[in-house]
Amino acid sequence: MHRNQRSEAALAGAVTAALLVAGCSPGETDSGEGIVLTCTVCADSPTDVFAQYNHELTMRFNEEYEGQYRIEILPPVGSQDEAGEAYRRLALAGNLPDLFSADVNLVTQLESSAQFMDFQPFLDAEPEFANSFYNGTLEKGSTGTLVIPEQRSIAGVFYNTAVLEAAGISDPPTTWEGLLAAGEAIKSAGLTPLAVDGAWITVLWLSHLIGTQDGGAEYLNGLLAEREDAAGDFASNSLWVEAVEFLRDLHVDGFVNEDAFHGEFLQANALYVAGEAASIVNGPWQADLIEDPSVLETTVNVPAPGDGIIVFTGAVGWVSTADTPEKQEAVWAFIKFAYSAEEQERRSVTVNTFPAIELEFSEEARAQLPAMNVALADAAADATHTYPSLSHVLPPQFLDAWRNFWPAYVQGDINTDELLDRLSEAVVS
Amino acid sequence: MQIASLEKAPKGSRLAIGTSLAPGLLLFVVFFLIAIGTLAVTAFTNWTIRGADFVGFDNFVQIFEDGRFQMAMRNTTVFVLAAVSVQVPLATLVALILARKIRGWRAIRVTLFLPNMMSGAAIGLVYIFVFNPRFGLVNGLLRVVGLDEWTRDWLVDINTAIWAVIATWVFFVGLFVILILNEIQGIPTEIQEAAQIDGAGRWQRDLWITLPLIRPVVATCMLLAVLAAFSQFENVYVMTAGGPADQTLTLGLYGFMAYSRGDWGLANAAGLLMLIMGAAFILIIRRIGRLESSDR
Repeated sequence: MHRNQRSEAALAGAVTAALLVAGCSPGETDSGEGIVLTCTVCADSPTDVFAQYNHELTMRFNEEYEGQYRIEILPPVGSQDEAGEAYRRLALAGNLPDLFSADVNLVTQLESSAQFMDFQPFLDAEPEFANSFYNGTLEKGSTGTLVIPEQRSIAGVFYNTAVLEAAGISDPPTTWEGLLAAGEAIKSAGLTPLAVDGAWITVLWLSHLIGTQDGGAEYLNGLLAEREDAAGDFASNSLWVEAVEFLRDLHVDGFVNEDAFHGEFLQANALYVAGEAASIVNGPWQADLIEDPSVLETTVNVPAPGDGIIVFTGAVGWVSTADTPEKQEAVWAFIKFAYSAEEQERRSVTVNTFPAIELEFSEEARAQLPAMNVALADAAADATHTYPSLSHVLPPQFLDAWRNFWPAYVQGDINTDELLDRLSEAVVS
Repeated sequence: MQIASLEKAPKGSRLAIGTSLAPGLLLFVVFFLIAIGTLAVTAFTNWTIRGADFVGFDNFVQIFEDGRFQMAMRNTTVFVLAAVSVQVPLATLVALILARKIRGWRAIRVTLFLPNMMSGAAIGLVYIFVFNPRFGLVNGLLRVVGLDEWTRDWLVDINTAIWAVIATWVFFVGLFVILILNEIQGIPTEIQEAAQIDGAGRWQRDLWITLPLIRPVVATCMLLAVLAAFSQFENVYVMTAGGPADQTLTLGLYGFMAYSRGDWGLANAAGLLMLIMGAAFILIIRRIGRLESSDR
């Protein structure tokens, strides 16, 4: 081998060795910066306001506790759809981060292969803080792992009053019959009564249809409380039958957009924000998705027909796998920091949602929150029916089965029993 | 220095050859053989996040009794038939035409190949918009020509979903055109000239001379097309996720769904079945295309 080639080979070998050593180095060292926690939901994100808030929260925490605690930001594990799978793989590898977000369904799946930090002793030691959470928002996995909820969101129905007025309707409908009458008028005006997507929005409508029936709210709240028994025979449950048939008829009778099954929320949202659809169902952050000031000005957020309001009690929350007393103290310090009144107000204003703890907003915060959302939150206390969303109380397989069979049902290729049987099977599997 | 075989190679060369092959062999063992072995073993277990116990053939019984698997088999068969009856014959026809060096044949060849450089998922995303019933290209064109009654939600209509999905890949013939065209251009011109002298027309020469001579490459393309159709996943997942009502569910998606719900043993059993069926396809097509004769 030529002398130059030997030198190049030696250099390449040295570089490779250096890279290998660097790659094998421990990723987390306490070099005078206190206890280090890893977090996979703390990276900055220009497109996701929730993620961006978590990032800024992390930066503020690190600054506040400099030298004592530090959160090391790990790359995100993927989109919301991918995260569950990613965390399952990490759990198998014993590599879950110290801090991340998960819903109770995912925590239940991970509990068999991961050891979660038990927040209960910390809550028991601070009863005032523990009692500040809204009743029912502190959810547990099947073996008792507590999830500290990130928010409490409230969903009614957003109506564009300008579209309603164009159809000769002065007020949003307050009954389901009123919705049908309003829908006919809106159709006659050449506009779309309901903007739906066959997935998120449609399932929220389904939740409203079930929750506002007699016994519906109790049924949905029961599913929330007894999550493991959420599987049931939907076909023999009149709440489900009435709801899916009404929802199907809304589609068949032309009350929804042409691309009602595409599962793309943004497509349905585009119709609403363009002023071509009269209504859309979403959480309070919908207000941030309406960029046109004229549409924002004419949008109201009111209870669903039948005076029903979805309350996202819990949904995604903080969990931890911290396994040493020092790390657990650091995690608890982070939780207390994140749930201070100042941070909860900041979060609510930033991501346009509501805190999981009972909090009296300052005048300044109330002024920054869209008035329509504050009004709906205030109305939630007096609503006839409040209930969770089906997306929250049923496992992810429900939504997959819904997207698979809902279009065929609406198009008459399968009947109500078959649809509900398929959904029941998916929930059980 | 030509080396006829490893056994006949000089000792020093044998070491060099072995050392050169070692990394590739190692990668093959680690990323293929071990993976296949794991697949085969775990296919007979009820492997979930909670652990794995040997269950014999229970997974396979469950799969064969599952109506969704039967639907996936049906749909995958339709995909394979589309590849065999449309994609490869179309590629052959296009290659025969391009072999005549028509004006712009090089540009056409490049253009046909462009979709092969895109990921299936990206293509699927594009076609979601092409087939959108409200603003999609297909319905838009139908409206322009006055065929409003033909407009529909192509990817969601139970009667059209599978055909709409097939249409997104069956006409992507670029790779096969290049392979077949290459083979056509390799045919000695004397054979064509001799036939021309004897009075054979262009299409007669294509039918009786060119096609028989390119049979091996057409069979190879058939093999590639069938295996690609058989393992269709990403663009179907993106466009329809197997719906509506499992009308576009493929074997790959079926296995993926089992994996997603944590039933890894069942997913690997489905994967093992796909592996066996794929191997069977390879043997059948090689036999029909008489590709063994090319091996000698």
